[in-house]
Amino acid sequence: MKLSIAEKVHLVEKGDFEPSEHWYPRVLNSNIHPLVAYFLNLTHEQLVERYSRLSPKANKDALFEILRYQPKYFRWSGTDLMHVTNQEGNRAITVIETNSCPSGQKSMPLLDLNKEQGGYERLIAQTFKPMVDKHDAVGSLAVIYDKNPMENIGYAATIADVFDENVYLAEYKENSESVKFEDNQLYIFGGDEEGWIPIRAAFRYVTQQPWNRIPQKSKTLLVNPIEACLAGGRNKEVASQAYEDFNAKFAERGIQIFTPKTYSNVPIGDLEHLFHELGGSMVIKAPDSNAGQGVMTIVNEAELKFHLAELRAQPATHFLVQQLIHANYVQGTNPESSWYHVGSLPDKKGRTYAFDIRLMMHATEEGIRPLAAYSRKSRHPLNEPIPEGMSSWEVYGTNLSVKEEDGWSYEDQRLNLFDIRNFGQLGLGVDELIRSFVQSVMAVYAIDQHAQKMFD
Amino acid sequence: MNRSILVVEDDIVFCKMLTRYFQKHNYTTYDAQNVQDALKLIHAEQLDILLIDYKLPDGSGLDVLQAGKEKAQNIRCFMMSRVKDASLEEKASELGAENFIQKPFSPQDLLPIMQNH
Repeated sequence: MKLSIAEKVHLVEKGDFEPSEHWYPRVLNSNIHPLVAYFLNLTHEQLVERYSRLSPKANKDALFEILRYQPKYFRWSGTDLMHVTNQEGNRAITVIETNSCPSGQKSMPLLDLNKEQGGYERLIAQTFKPMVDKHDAVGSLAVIYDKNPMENIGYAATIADVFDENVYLAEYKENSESVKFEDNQLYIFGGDEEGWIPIRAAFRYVTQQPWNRIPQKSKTLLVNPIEACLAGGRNKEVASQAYEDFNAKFAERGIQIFTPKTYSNVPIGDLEHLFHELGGSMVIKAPDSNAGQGVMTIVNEAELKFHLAELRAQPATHFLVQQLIHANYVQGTNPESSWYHVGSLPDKKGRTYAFDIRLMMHATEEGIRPLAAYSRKSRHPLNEPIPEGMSSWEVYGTNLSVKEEDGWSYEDQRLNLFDIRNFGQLGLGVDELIRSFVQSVMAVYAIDQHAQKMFD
Repeated sequence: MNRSILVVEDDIVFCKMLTRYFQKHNYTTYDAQNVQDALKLIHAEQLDILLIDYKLPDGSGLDVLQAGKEKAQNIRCFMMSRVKDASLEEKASELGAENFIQKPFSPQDLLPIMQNH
């Protein structure tokens, strides 16, 4: 690796992949849980057969159609899901959100111990490379990022190995000096001698308002292109519309994307009324929020007042509102639409926690495949009263801190690996993983179709 | 006993790639992305080597060099920059830098430079 060939640009060379630099230490020493490995190796045929046993109304052809789907824009994704139950004890997996720059590789134990680049290699060899091979353009290869260097150096090193070619690794924040788009073509500054280098394809992990600097219809092949963000891979409001369209399209074929009851485009002035209509609790999401920022859980008047004051100071005027997935049974709530966290298995002190499931997927030549999975649990147990003054986010929020996102800090107490030691604590089985995967694929299908409607 | 090194560089990738390289070579490593954090570490830790970028977001790497030398005369200091500037190199040398390392470089280029001085 040549460090700093230009301001925050490095040249990654073949052979630079070092597992200890691209996984958390705890993950390096973990072994994948056999149930998770079994799930990751299921064929599409097995997944369809099983899903249609779990959801008897689901049409098998419809399931094959979505699993074998070849997304045009959204070929790499991460979905956040939750394991919920209703008053009758019927459990389900609900989609919370879908991300177009998902983290996750550094938290995923190796599926095959003999393949030391693990999911990094599967994504680059099975998704990125076939796309680059078909893309008729000249120039170099790059990884552009604004977060999560631990995984992005791993991707750059894997690309260098898979393509046998040096890769530019460039930080791309607003006002970056060394990365630019000109006439929709990406260039990276390679130093005074090299000058601006045209890039034929780039792996993109730019998350902070990327639409401010990445153009639509990029001539440089991008995985993922900005269209994936704009069509719902980032914008929660647009994603909600995409899910509604999907559910209308597939209603007669017995499959649907399951989300908490959602209210789109709610003006700030209507939030208080909606709070009461929903029985005194709700979740407010800023449409373009990311990594748990801009998502608020509200369970009482004091929190409503606090967050309304906060929201009035923000530029956004309309919000997405969802029904809260309750911690515990609430008498008097609508049995049709009330859902509860199943939560983790109780620990020795009897504490059970809300958790999410992060499922990363990629589009391969055979269709969409699962790639990585892990869970994050909340800070405060579901089954203990919230102490006076504590935010309900501590009970319901599962995002790890922003600190975690840089990948160098190791704040792991709430990260649940899908390894032998930890997976069992979640109380999940293969069927929940299958449901999670199918829900996630439906979300990807919906967003990609929406992108085609918006941009083609 | 392991030698200790502080890498001062605002590019976190650069910083971490270097510190991990040094860790593999039995150094105890610290890193800072700005002058302020670097000064705190200089005062708090017993450091053997400083590797300092000239251009930092909140000031000059020369300030870090000077603070390091004030704390311990025998601390070994190396400056880094992408800009070739003779007067800057001279100033760094006057303040006690052993070498002014030109970017870009590979991590493995550094050990011989440090061992040769």
